[in-house]
Amino acid sequence: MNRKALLVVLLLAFIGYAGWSFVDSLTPYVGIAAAKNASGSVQVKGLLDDRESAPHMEGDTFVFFLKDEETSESMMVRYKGTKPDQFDQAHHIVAVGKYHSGAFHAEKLLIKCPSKYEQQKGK
Amino acid sequence: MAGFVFLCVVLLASTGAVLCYGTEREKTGCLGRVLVYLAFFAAFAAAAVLMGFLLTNRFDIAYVAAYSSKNLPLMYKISAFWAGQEGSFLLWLLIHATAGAWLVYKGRMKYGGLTVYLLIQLLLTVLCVEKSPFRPIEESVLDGVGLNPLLQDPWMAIHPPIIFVGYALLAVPFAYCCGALIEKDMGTGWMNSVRRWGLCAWAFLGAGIFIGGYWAYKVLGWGGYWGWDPVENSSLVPWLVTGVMLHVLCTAKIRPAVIPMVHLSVIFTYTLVIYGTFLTRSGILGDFSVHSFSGTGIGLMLAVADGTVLLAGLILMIVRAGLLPQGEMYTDHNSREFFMLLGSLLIVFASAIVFIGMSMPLLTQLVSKPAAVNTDFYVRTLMPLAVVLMLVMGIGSLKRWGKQTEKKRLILPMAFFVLGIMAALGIGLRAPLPILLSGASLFAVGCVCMAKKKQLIKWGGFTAHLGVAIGLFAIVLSGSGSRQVSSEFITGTPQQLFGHEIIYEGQRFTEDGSEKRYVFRVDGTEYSALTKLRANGEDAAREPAIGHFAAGDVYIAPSPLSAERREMLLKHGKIAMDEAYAYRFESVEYEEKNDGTTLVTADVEITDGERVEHAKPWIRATAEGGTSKPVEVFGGASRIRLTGVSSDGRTIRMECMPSLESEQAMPVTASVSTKPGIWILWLGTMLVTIGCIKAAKE
Repeated sequence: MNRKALLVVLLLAFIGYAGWSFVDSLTPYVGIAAAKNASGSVQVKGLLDDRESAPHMEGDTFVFFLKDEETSESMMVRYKGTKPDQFDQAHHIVAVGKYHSGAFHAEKLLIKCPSKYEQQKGK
Repeated sequence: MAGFVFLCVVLLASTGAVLCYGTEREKTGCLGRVLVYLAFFAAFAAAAVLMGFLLTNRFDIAYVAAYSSKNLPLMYKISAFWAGQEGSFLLWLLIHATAGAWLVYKGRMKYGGLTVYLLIQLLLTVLCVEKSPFRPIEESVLDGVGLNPLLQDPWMAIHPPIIFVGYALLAVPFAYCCGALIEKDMGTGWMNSVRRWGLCAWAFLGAGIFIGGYWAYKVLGWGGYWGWDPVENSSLVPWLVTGVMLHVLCTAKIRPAVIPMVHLSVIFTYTLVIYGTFLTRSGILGDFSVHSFSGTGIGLMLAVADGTVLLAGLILMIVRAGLLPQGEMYTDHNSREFFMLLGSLLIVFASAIVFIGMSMPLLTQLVSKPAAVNTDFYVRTLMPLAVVLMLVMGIGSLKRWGKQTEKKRLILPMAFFVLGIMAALGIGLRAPLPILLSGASLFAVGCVCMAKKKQLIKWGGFTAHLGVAIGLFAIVLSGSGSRQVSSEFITGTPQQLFGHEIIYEGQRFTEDGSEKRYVFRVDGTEYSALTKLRANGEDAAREPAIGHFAAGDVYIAPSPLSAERREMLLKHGKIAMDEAYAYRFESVEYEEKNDGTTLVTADVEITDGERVEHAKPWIRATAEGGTSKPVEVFGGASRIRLTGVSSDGRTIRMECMPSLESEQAMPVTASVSTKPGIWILWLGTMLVTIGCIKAAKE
């Protein structure tokens, strides 16, 4: 009986740990204004903004500006890595990361391609 | 038209067969048999028609125009069959109908099971009719848009059909299980069939997932074989739950009290197959996944189907609850059944974690703003689970059924455990969990080898479990042990990175300009990163350069690089200048080609102050736009490319770019990473697949 109790306690402890990790790593989907004020990790969807500067590399960091589709507000995105595939053909860019010290530090970039390879809606 | 008619035949035949098997039984069974064969032949014919359309470039069919093109190699014309939503549902239906015909032919499945199986076939047919790949195109085109260059890879050509075989075959255990409940069959005969079909499906689904991972590693420059993308996860969860199903099934043969667990796991497996399809095909995750399909109208249908599968299964179980065996699932903690069940429970936990993670965008969407989980959620929750799972798997494999009497000394496994920890420390790991997992997985390797020697497990089980253990070991090494830097490479200058000497040798273009390669020399051997180019010279798809070594791979992903292009507008007869040359556009010629395109050639006079040359840049105009390639001037010192001509032929637009040599020698930034022991992972995945197939035969 003791072993069973131990097992249950261990499993409950693990569920607790998983739950905590889950809440900790939940990243809400926000606009650019909200991303700038968010304390934790968020996902932002936007369009490439090349009014200020074109996407470029700064050392090992890929830098570009992302603008909000609705408000046209813009922010700098820094991504440690090289330019993602099909970035130039991107329709929308989704950046996952945190905003701090004047830039959005992306851990992951998702490139949404409108591309001719996807079917149009409603077909 | 013929294809759609065949689909309708499948629809009618499947409906008829459901009615035959579902109602009168004995009397109508013979007719049902004929109808199942008819449905199979009609599905086969429909698929043949679509394949015929693809092979004969019938661009008046919307599906063919969307996924194929004239110049596509034969292999990819074939694989275009499953490149899109419509075709892949048809493939699924074909495999399902084939397995159905086989079931009827063998005659092992009873009427209840066949009714369930054919109801699923009916659902798939309705999906195929709703999303028919035989629709004619609205606006006619001369050539199709072609297959996404990322998918033009041998691995990607075979990945979807293998996954679909796995998905389709999982319907068989579900049908057997529901059939047994309907027929009040509480024996174990149906479980043997579930085991064999489940193992086959598991082997295919696993192989499909592994091939997908290998493709992601080799083709996508993401730096890894697994990205925890919802599309990947939606195939991983059914695979994990199938694993649970097969393990509780083993236990249920010894302990009848476990049989309800078999029912549950089979029902959940198929529910999760359809759920995964719903998640990736409905467009719901469009913003969260890199490669899910965009919005389509079948989401609701799939959601309803999924709910029906789950509810029907559970209701059947409740209705038959009185007949289900009861009793102790295990009597002793020190027995194989206890470890089997504990291991299964751990895999259920792992599935639940991945399930919750991948469903988050959907679930949060229902209550408020959508949110997703970070990918490190999976790693940090699954890692401790994997450590325990490896220990349970290792110790469990050395136990016997029932009560344990003898004591085993775990000297060999403990030595392996230490070896694993040392390997992890050796490649520079310092975090406790990866080190523990490395040790635990090698511990399991030791246990499984001992179990084989003592004949506690058969060859199939041994191979598959060995594969899982060394696979996890390799995941720790190549994942947690990976190191990455970003570095600028100047052609011909060697750099020392991670103990390798890497020299960048520049870009090389193929003759026809359809591809270029970034050539790297790692420790003297040449490896190149391929970039497929569009007709206008832009990057279409990029692959990394991967150097293979015994200690692991060196993975080099160059940042896209293209020569600086200056755009110029030239008016007829006027002179335009840049730093090096003066240009004057003199005339333009049009030439109609047989294939419906027009070749437009401009005559441009170029001078560098001393020499004068006439260049003939051209553009091939088609209904969709133009394609052109640069032409060299002054013996290759510079290149110009025609990009447009005004309708009156008085103005042309062109691009000027430096010489090919200077473009080839441009410095490049590349992210370089190590993947220690990655080949062990490929070995592990092969062992798992071989083990499953072997076990299915045993």
